[in-house]
Amino acid sequence: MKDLTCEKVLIAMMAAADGESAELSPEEMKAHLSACAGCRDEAVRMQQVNEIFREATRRESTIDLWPAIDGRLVQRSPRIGWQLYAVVGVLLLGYKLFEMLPEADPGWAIRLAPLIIFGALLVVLRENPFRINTELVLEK
Amino acid sequence: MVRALMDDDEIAIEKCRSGDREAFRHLVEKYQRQAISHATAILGSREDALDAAQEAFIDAFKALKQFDSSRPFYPWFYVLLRNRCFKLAARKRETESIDETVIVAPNSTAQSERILALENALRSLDMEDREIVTLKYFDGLSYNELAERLQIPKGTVMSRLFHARKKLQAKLERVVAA
Repeated sequence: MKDLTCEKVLIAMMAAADGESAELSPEEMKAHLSACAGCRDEAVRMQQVNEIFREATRRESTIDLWPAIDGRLVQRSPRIGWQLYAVVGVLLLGYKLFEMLPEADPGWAIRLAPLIIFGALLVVLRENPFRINTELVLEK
Repeated sequence: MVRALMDDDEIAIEKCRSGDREAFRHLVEKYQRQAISHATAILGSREDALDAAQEAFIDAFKALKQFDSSRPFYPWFYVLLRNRCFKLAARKRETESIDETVIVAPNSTAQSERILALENALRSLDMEDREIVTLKYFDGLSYNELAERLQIPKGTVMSRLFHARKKLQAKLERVVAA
């Protein structure tokens, strides 16, 4: 017979009771139990705890989270239509055409216009291009 | 049946990805009871569970673009939910005094003192033990399903479950002996 530790036997018994495949055969478990009073007591206690759980169920909540979540989503994502993107596109195109004029000599303030337009778009969209998304990393 | 439910979710998720909030409402209403119960079992507090579930749904809405919609929604969402629970618990360590059960409810034949003892015993476990025990007993998840939900190997599931049950046994000794 293999030299079995009590923990190994109890884990195998737990798995068998849970309907899972156990690492030990029923004969190996029986042989250990017949010789180990500690494991026999433990098996009875395990059974008793299972009995208590049979009398209980998970308490469920009837609270509706949707109003709060919807409020947060509305706050988070303003309704942005295609019009905004069209305006930004027209502004950037206008700037490019202006820049292509041979006699055009825009000052430094005008040269910053595309950056300002892009920055304004990010502000309206509430997006941070430098934000690193770490939310999906499992934390313990 | 499961396939039909998944199709239902798949359609809602596709709509959510194009910014349809009403479609997200379908997912929230379908899974919120489960989410609140699971968060309560982890945190041991109904109030904290509501916060965690709400935050997890917002996280899910933001992350839906990365979700593989050929897979079931809830196990994926559960990972976000438990992240939120652990984050919240790291900030709030105090435990509430208990005069009502928030994790367990009695079946029709149950004696209330045994249920209260079970609630107390569960609350006295640490979060990870409470989580695995309640997922096993109340949701009846298999070891493979537990491994997927908790993102740990099956062998770890067995040993964690065994030790959590042993702790629970010790806490319930008086009730069991009665």
